[in-house]
Amino acid sequence: MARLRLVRGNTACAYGALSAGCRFYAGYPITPSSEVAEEMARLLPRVGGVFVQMEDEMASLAACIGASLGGLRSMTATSGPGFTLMQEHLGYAALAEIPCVVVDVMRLGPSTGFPTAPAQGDVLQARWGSHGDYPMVVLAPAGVQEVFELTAAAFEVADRFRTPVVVLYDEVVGHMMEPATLPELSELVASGKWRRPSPPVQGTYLPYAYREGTPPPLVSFGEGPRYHVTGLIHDESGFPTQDPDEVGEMLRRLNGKLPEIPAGQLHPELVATGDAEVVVVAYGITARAARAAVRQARELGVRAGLFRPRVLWPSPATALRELSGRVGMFVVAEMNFGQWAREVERLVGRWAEVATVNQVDGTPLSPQAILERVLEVTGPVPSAAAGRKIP
Amino acid sequence: MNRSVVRLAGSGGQGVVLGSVLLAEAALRQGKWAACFHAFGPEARGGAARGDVVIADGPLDYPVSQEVDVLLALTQEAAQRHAASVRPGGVVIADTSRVREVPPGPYRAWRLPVYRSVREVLGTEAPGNVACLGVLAAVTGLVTAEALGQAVRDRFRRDGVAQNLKALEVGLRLGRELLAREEAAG
Repeated sequence: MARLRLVRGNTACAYGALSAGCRFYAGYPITPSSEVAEEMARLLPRVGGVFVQMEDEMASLAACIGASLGGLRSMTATSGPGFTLMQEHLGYAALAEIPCVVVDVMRLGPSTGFPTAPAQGDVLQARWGSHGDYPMVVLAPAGVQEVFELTAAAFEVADRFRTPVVVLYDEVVGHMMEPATLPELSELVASGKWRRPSPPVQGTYLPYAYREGTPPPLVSFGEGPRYHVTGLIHDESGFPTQDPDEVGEMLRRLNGKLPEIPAGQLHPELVATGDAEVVVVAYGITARAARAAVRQARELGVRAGLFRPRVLWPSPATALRELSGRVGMFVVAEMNFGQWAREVERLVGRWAEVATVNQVDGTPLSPQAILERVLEVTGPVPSAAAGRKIP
Repeated sequence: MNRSVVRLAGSGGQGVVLGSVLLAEAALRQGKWAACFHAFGPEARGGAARGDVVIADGPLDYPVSQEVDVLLALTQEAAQRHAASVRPGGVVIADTSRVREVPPGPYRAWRLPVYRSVREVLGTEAPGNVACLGVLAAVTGLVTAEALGQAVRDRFRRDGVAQNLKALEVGLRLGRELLAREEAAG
């Protein structure tokens, strides 16, 4: 029986992975993600899985890709410096269309930066960190329970679309402990070894022959016909091609395979947006501060709302554009100098004002800082609330 | 929404992180909502360490807090460093043998011989962190002695349970004696 208990975000991540059937972890510990590795090292052997501490982050993701081709749901976790090293293999997994999950617990960068301090500076790297055009899914949980849920969802999305999925959250979400409902370890142990089922193959297996916009399910190595996997641009069989028609078609399909909302539970959360004149856009721990700020703004008579994406990439364009038909002002709150704000500006900038509130000093944005910015952009406080002290 | 923040501050090895987790788990057992935040240096022992516990009636939008209602200071350095974070009217509890002086401020501050008393009863100071939670429960009423006892029983194994429950009793006694003295003094 799942029960409510006090859980650290990084622990919830490990439990989410195991409950989704992840049975392989290869990683290199780094603050503030190390507890994910610690938990996986402790738990994976109990469920018949494999934990490997690798020599670096490049090797870590390479091992996960190999394990995935072998039929295991696989994951690695890291932070900024390690995430940078993983970009090469993220691009490889995207092009070769091999499912895997990469957790990035964001600390303040660039470079070694401020290892124990929270930040949200990897938002664009998560989308565009590798070279070339490729699809990418980036999920952004805002609390411990959601770290569990979205990590589990990441594996479903990765397999469904045969793509790497990044679970991206900040140091505060990774290290804080709050009540969450997780399965008992005994339930996970009972579920035992888990392998991705290989589809039956009649005739030739064409691992890159799309059907209805997505690649076919992956045959695990050793369980069916042999096939070729490469980082070169390839045709439907997986062998390299330089034919411009095939190259163009392959990349067009690859980059078009992801829907905006890759799974049902990944819709953005909207709070009090029905009558809102200003909507705060935020994700991760910043969204929690934004929710408090929106509540305080309402108490002051300002019609504020919250838009919280659970998926940062692909960006929830339809939901944001729909909102911009009714809302004239967006305030994007981030622990960076405006990374996702660029996307909001791109999506709604023609119809609405987009303001930002940013904090990049190693401390999380407070509800007060967001509230002050909301009051700044909405102009004078309505008379009913005039004279009231900002809480 | 009622919201209280307790900070346990000391040095690595004193058990402030474990103490904060026990406190939060006790609050959960009482049907309250709780969150924990920890900060410590790279040292395994001896660096500054702290654990913040936020206790509320229900889930909080944003549990991160700047201001502290109750500070449990287990080293002089911790008292110096964190007293300024205590809100006016808040509470500072410090260990007599480890904190010579609590910086003056707009809060109520007491020094209690927690570690010495634990050593007298148990022959070791190791469960001093749990005794501090006993003092906290008695003085503030934020969590009950029963809930703390349950948290201890769920967390430790056999010998550890007995020892830590005794330490908890020591803390509760010190806290109750303090309240009685305060009451007598009017």
